[in-house]
Amino acid sequence: MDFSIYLPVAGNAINIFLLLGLGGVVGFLSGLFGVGGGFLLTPLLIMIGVPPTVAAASDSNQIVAASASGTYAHARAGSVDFKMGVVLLIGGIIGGSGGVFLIKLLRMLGEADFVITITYVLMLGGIGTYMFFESLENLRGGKRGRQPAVESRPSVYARLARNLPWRVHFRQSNVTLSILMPLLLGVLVGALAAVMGVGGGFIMVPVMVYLLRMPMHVVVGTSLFQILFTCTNVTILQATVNHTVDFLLALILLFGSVVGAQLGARVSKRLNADQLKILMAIIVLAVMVRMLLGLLLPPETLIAYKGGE
Amino acid sequence: MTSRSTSSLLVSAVLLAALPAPGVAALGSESIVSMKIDPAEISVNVFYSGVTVHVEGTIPGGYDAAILCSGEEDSVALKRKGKVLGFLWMSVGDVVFEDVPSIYVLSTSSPLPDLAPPQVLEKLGVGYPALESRVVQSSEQTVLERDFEEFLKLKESENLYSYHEGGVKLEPGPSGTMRVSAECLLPTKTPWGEYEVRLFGFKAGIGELLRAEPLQVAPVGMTARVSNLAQNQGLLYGILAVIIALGVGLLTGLAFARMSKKGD
Repeated sequence: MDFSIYLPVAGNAINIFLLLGLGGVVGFLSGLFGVGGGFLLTPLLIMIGVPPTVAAASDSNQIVAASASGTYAHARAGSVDFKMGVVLLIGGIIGGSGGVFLIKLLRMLGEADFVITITYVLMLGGIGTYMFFESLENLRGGKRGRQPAVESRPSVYARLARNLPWRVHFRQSNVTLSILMPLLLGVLVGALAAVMGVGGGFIMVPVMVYLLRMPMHVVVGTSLFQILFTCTNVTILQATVNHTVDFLLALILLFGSVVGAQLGARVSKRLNADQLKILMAIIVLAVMVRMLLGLLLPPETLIAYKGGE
Repeated sequence: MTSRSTSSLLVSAVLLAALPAPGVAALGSESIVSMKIDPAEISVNVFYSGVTVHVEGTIPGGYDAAILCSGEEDSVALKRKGKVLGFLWMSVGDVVFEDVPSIYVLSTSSPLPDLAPPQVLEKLGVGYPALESRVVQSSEQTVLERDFEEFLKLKESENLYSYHEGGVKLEPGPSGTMRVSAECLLPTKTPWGEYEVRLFGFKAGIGELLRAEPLQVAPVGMTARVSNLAQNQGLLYGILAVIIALGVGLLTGLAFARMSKKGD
């Protein structure tokens, strides 16, 4: 029996269990690490026959459900820093708008694809490698891993962070820092996410851990809270401007992902910070390797539809 | 060779002088030619997973045949991939092809070179080389030699373009006619719109479009409703999509919270 379902906006029929399974896996990662999972799901959807623009837009739609489900679970456990989330979100919106302008500029100059891809690979490689070795070192050092890794090495960044004005205490994260820091970092991540065409969860999570010194469990919940708003905005924009949201596709994916997100949030509570970080690092590095292979291996066809990134 | 087809060829020879492309002519076979396609309308609902269109007909004896199922023509924007810095495969330029059919499924009774000379096939639009010359000529940009070849690979990988040599079956019919039959497989990715199934006849290097029948591919039921809403009321569609996603997400969160409470 054929369990395929025809997706009206994607214009293709895909096996329903395959979609439920993909949604489940990505939802699990979302609940576990606080990432939207778009950087993983969008290429997988393209691989199974969904047009790239529809894959990205419908993915945002299903992330709304997964992040709502994940945020709810984390909020109940008291691991969402709403204050920090709102400041990061404001920065993200400003940075996102700037990023859209930047990408236009890059396209005008040509070489945009090259700059984007190289930035993506270097970014993923840098973040992934740093997280991996830092967490590995902490795990090997036993309980030392539970200590905030940054206390021992005051850097230029740390001195700058201490001297910025408007210091505020973020109770949920138990950190006191200038409100300018999450705002500026939000702008930076928002701009990078817009340039690279991703939600930015996998950049935001390391930023919260290493630059804002937030505890890993609060990072996951707060990141999901922020992603909820970002993806709501993207879904409505994509539906209005590009008409590329396939609701049926999103609905099937989200049935899988909301369940996966709950399971991910539960597992997240059972793992310690360094175990979570090292798993996240492995996934980030795997995506980087996949992108790198895409750059190094000859493509199947030397021509592709435009707008298919 | 029947006397009927001999006289057809004579008429064709006379007509040839007046035609812009040699070998494309009316073969005088109108009265005995027929074609039937089944289904003639394809409804795309949520269970649609591609369809096989059966084509049957009658042509004069001694003819070769080609059956082409092609979709609406439109321009296609493409990007070329090439090596940057000698080892990175990336986009290296753009090309736009005009008048590209969304689907091109061709079946013939004999190999293309046996049907008619290239200029005849080109005039009739039968075969990839014919399609190439039309698409490349209509492009306003510089088209590289490998562009169309790679484009065909791309379309074939999506099952939107295919060529089946020997895909048209010929059998003797009544009164010296031939029965033709072929199957045209439309993949799940078939775009909606007006299609045309065309039956061509070939004899002694001369080719003719014998019959053309329209084929409609249209969404129905929920597929049509969702698609209409997405296209015509994007904002409402987007808001509804977000509300439903939020609802499902929060309800699942609530359900899991209750389940874990019971478990405690």
